[in-house]
Amino acid sequence: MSDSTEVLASAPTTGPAAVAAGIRANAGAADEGGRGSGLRKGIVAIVVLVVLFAVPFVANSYLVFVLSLTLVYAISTVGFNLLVGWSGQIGLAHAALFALGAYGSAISVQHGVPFLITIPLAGVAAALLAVVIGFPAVRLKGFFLAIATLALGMAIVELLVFARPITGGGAGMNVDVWTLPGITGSASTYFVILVVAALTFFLTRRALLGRFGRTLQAVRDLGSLTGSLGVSVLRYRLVAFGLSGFIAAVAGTLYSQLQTFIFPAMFHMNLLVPMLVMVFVGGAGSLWGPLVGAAFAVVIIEFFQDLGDQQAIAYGLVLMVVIALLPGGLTSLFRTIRDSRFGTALLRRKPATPVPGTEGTAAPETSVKEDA
Amino acid sequence: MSTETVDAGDTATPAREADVVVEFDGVSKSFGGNSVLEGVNLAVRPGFTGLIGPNGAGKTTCLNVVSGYLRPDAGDVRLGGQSVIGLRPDKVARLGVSRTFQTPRLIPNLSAVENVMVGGGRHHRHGHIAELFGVPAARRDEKDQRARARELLGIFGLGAHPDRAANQFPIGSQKIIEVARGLLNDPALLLLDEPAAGLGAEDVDRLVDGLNGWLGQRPEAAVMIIEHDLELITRLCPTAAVLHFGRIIQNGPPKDVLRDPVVVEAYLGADVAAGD
Repeated sequence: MSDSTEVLASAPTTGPAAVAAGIRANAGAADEGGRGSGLRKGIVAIVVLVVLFAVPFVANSYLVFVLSLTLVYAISTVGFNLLVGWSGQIGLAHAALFALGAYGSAISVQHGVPFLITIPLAGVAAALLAVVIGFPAVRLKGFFLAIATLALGMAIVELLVFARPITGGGAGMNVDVWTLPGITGSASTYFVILVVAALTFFLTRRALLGRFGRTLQAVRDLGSLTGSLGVSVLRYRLVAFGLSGFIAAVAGTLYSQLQTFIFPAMFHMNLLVPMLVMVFVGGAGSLWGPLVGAAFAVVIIEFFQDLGDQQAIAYGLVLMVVIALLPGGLTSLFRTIRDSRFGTALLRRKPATPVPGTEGTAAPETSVKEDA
Repeated sequence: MSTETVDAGDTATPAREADVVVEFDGVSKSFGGNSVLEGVNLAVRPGFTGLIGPNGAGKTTCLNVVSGYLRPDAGDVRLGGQSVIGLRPDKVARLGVSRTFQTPRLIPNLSAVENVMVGGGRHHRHGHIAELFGVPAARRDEKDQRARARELLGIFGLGAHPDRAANQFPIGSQKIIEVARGLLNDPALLLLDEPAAGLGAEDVDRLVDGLNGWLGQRPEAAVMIIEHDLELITRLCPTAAVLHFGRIIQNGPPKDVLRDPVVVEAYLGADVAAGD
């Protein structure tokens, strides 16, 4: 698996002619787990990125917004999934750290700090805060950890209301949107989001497939026994808190740019519950789950929009149904289908009968989501 | 300390005269007034040492004290002359102590080889940042660890499917994978807590062959085995210590030890009481 990431790193040098050939050549091997298919994955990733970069030039602003929102949620969910899915800690301060990123960036921008710089700044600040939250929390387990972090998170969001002079209080504040010369603000935001999303996915994927990911899973699955392997359990739990906080705040900065107006109520339970939905629908502890979960969440948020205050109930129901019926999330469903007889037969037949219709896109899509 | 006559010819332990690897010096531990260890004195030398005794004798507590999971109320445990009391488990592990637990715990969705690789923490000289950016030395480390993990699985006769998910192995193989995981750290002291419990005869043979093979590569290492399967102890260990009510009541070649009337009584008494 480490070799797959190496290939991924060197893939940009591959010419476009090799792209199509690579996809065709590797389509048959799609049932072969993650091994040896790094080139194909790299190529797919690059093709997808190129297509996504073209979107603002061809699509309407609504689609650009929806895609932006999906990617922001996906970034945030990568962080949440790292904490909940990979390190096994149900820390519920994620929405608050996301809010911290959004407000931190918006306020800094108001005071003349360039937006792009606020992204890492807010990330680092939130990471530090997350470690502070995590310090007592990593000694707690399950339910107690959830309650402690939930309370802290709620308190942080409440503080935004009280800090009226700088945050505008409950009424919210406007965000100065950063714009690239020559294109619209929303397209600029989209490009920044796309770059950050690509970086986030690439780096976390790389880390999680390597020793870092293995160790996090050991901490999650073996608990204190991991100490006997020479691993400091507390340190890894804290690092997971810090990293997820960093990513949450980074996503938050992008969210503020995207929404152009932010207020504290955006970051309450009505954000936290969908965030959990994204993790579990995508598949806790999976690699591509956050993207799938975010896309799903954006769709159902749209779908439940008219429910008003009852939205939370609807999300809660979705969450319960998913956890009960599909504990591994949608990515596990893809995997089950792929590993089933039908799936392997379908994928093996692929190179012989290239493409027509919807089935043609199914093969590379499942292959992207195959590893969890 | 009793004489160290080696009668088990099948165990390769040439370094008999080497230093003591770990030494228990008057170790006592009680839980809420229940005394579990009462002044345990034991010197463990390279090669296999059995730690036997009836249920509740304090065997696992001994391992927990050495590996940093429990702090004794009194006494000292020295690893290569250095006290390990007060060190956290991960620090002790980094000094070269590996252990397994009674119930095998693997990461179910990782492959066998990656589960073994989780045990290699002591040998990683590069941080996660270096790994993230693919620094050549870090990459080489990872590659070496993977190769070594495969090799260890091979030693235990599990080299055929190193990339299969751990939860697809039968429970006996999972226990052996756990032992291999402990070995990736190249421990100076390996602590095995009932490694053969629940293993079929074939798995026991794999375990024995693997441990012998590993010890052949590292003759200076010590392996301490808690085991109820006394036949296995006799087969592997040139010496065995008998723990009874928190005290070492006998220590010597297993065959002699098991013939000792005090030991027989301790076992029979406990067997009747515990019914196992």
